[in-house]
Parts: sequence; structure tokens; C-alpha cells
Amino acid sequence: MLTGVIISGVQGATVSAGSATLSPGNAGTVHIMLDSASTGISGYQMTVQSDNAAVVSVTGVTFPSWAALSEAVPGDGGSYALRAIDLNSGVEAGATEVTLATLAVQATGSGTAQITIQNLQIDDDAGNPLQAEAKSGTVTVSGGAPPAEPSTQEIQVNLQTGWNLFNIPMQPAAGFEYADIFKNVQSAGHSILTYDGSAGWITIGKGDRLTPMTGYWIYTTSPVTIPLTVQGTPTGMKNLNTGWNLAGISGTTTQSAETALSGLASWSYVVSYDSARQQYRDAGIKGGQSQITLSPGEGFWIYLDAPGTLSPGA
Amino acid sequence: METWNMYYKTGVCILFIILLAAGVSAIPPLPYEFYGNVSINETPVVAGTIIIAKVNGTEVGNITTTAVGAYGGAGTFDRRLVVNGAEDQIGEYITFWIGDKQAAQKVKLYAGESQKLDLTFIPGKEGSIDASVTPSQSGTIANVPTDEETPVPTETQTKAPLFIAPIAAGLALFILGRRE
Repeated sequence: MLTGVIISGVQGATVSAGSATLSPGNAGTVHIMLDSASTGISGYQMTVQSDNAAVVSVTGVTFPSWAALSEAVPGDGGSYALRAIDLNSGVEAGATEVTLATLAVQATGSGTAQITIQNLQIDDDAGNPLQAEAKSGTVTVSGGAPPAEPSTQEIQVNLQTGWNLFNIPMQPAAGFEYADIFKNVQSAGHSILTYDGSAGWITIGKGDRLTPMTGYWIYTTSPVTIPLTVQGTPTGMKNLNTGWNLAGISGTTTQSAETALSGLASWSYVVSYDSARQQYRDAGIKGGQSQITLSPGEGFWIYLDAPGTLSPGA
Repeated sequence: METWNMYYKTGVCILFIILLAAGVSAIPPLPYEFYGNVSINETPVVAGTIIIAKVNGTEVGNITTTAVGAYGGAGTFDRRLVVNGAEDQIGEYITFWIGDKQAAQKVKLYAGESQKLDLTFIPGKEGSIDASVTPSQSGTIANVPTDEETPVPTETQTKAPLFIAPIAAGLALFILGRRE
């Protein structure tokens, strides 16, 4: 659908990254916009990046609802390769101010950084290349006092005898980021495991960093509670692959699957595990009649028909 | 009538293809982990030996020993021989190999188990010892729709008529068409 050579097209279209001002340490968003699509668009691809990661980094990407198929693939230097396809003709001819993607950005220092757009290719509704100029956006991180350390709080990971599928729903504080916090769990020769759609099962080592919004399996021979100090909501997004993924929600409250996963366009099943009964619960189906709830401390399997990202607090 | 028959056959085929295409693969079963001692002709193997686990001749995991005569350990963060089997391989035998030598032990594949299994490689004893355990983690096999199965959860039962009705109608018309 996308072609690599720009031959002709409507002149004057512009794809621009928005501007933003952040306080030190804060997160924000930058919209990637197409000013006009006189012949509609059928899809696009581009690479976005902060030119000064010491000031601002791109931490994730979300796509508008018209992008029925989309992916954001992290690359070198904090870049993201974005691709989206308008399967359902959501962007018709004559559309203006079309949102192509929304970037989550994180202030990592003070100063100014450009959000650049490279390798831009857009096709119109007829499949012809759309000639468009790419314009960078500016993100300014204002000076002033350094970011205040988020207040910490203690949560507990309660493990039942047997297998448990847990999730860390908040950002672990210093000293609690690594898997060795589970070093005293009597696991009877079982590893701590997570699953990646492309790599398969992953065995977690003592020095591996624990990622929020990720499902981890752990086995214990007796019930045990692991205290975990956290500070605020997770700062990054959770990238999910097509097929089965292990994920978790963020925050401190139980939510319905439909609400917690509303930012994901392409999920179809979620399955959580009842560690007290040592068995899976019934599968939750998107749009199904049963109201499936997701607890912050529990991980779950989620099936996606296309890659997506799970946002903190979504 | 022959034209209608062709339409009905085509329609039924398309609907079945759509249903198959909409199928969801099974949730990956938890791995089976092994650790223990290992010897060839009663001599402990040297560090650096590669042990391969296979199911029906296909590799499903491997480990390189780091100590003389042992592979893996029982600690949470110890390395182990991790066997990643598919759901349709559960109940099949895992065999263990060093090069072209097969261990005397064989074990049925189950999900989520961990076992201390001393491996002995003795000519003439290949696969002669069934060291299978009684599965204890059957709850870690999820009951969700697959390509091969009819969806089980309640929600899918309420949805099923939406899919089944056009197929049933197509089949009925197809059969009527043949009788005429």
C-alpha cells in the first residue's frame, strides 16, 4: 500500500510535529498532524525522534482511531518507526488537520529539543504518493527548580502457594527495580517468567529490571508477601505484539477490561489467573456480555490482532 | 440450480475460511524446567557440554553445563534446562540428548513443572526410564478459543448463533438444492 518513491501528488501538504512546554521531569504529548488531505490518505510511515535526548525523549506512541492497523517500533537513539493504515476510509478526501499520531514525551533535562520527522511517506486514497513537507516541532523544558522527587508509597505483592501471575502497577522506587526483591521466595526450582510475542518465554534473572504493566509468573511453596516501594505512575508505555502478550494495568484501582484497555484498538481476549484457585479465570472477550475486571496487582494474558501500546493510566 | 449450488458451496466455503482465519492460537503453556546431575557411562560430563531436549525429534530447549557433572540448579535465579512445549505437545515424551547420544530418562511434557532429573547416558539404555511426574499444574492451561476448538467461554456461546446461523442456512439451502 505504501510506496517508496514519491512521483507526484497534491502540492503543499505539511506534516508537522507540534510544540510543547514541559516542566523539568514532567511528561507530555506532541501531536503529529497533517494539515490537509485533499485526496484522503490510505496510510503512512515515518520515523520520529528527539534530537536531544538529554532534554526530551520520546517514550511511546498512540494512534488515532482511523488507524485500524498501526505499529510503533522503537529504534536506535530513541527513535520510533511509525506505520499506520486507514483500512476503513476514516480520513476522506478534503480532510484537514488530521492527527497521524500522538507522541508521549518525557522531560529528561532542561533546554530545548526538536522532535524530528524523517523518512516520511504518505499514500492517498488512490494509493498514489502524497507529497508532503515534514516540519519539526520544538519541545521546551523550562528551567527552574529541579523536579521534585515523587512521593513514595508501599504496595504489597501477595503471592499464594503455587503459581502467581503478578504485575507491578506503579513505578518501582530505587532499590526495588530489580528481580532480586524476590530472592527469598521458595520457588521449588521454578524460574520467574514473562512472555514476549516475538521472543517467547523469557526467564528473569536476579539483576533484571522489573517493568511495570508487565505480567510475571512466579511460583512459591507457601504464601508470602513482598513489600514494594513505588513512586508514582509508570513513565513508559507497554508495547504489545500481535498475538498473546503478558501485560498489566497501572494505578491502584481495579478497572473493567473495557475501560482499562480502551486505548487499545485491536485486543480481542484477556485472561487472568486466579492464584488462590490455581487456575485461569474465564476469558474476557472484547464487547462480550460478561464484565471482566482487571486488578492492578495481577498480570493477564491479552490477545492482539495488531501491535499496540498500553498507556499508563489509560 | 447448478448455478445456485455453486453459489451455496462457495458461500459456505468462504464462511468456514473466515471462521478459521478468526481463530486464536492457544495461550502458551508455562515451560517445564529441569536440573540435576548428568553423566556419560557413569563419568560426569565436562563443563561446556550442551544438553538438548526434544519432543518427537524437534528441539524444545537446551542448556550448556557450567560445572562438571551437573546442569542447572534449584534456586529461583539458577539456570535450568527450560523446555518450551506447545499445547498440542503436552503428554508427549521429552527426550534428552548430548550430540547423538540419548539419555536413559524420558519425561512426559506438562506445563509449569520443575523437576530434579539426573540424566545418565549409557549405550543400550536410551529412553528406557520413564521419569514422568504426575502433573500438578493443570490450572495453568487456559480454556480459551483456539484454531481447533469451539470457543468455550460464556460470551462466545451467546455470540455463536451470529456466526452459525448463516452457515446453517447455507448448508440447508445447499442440501435442498442437491435434492432438487
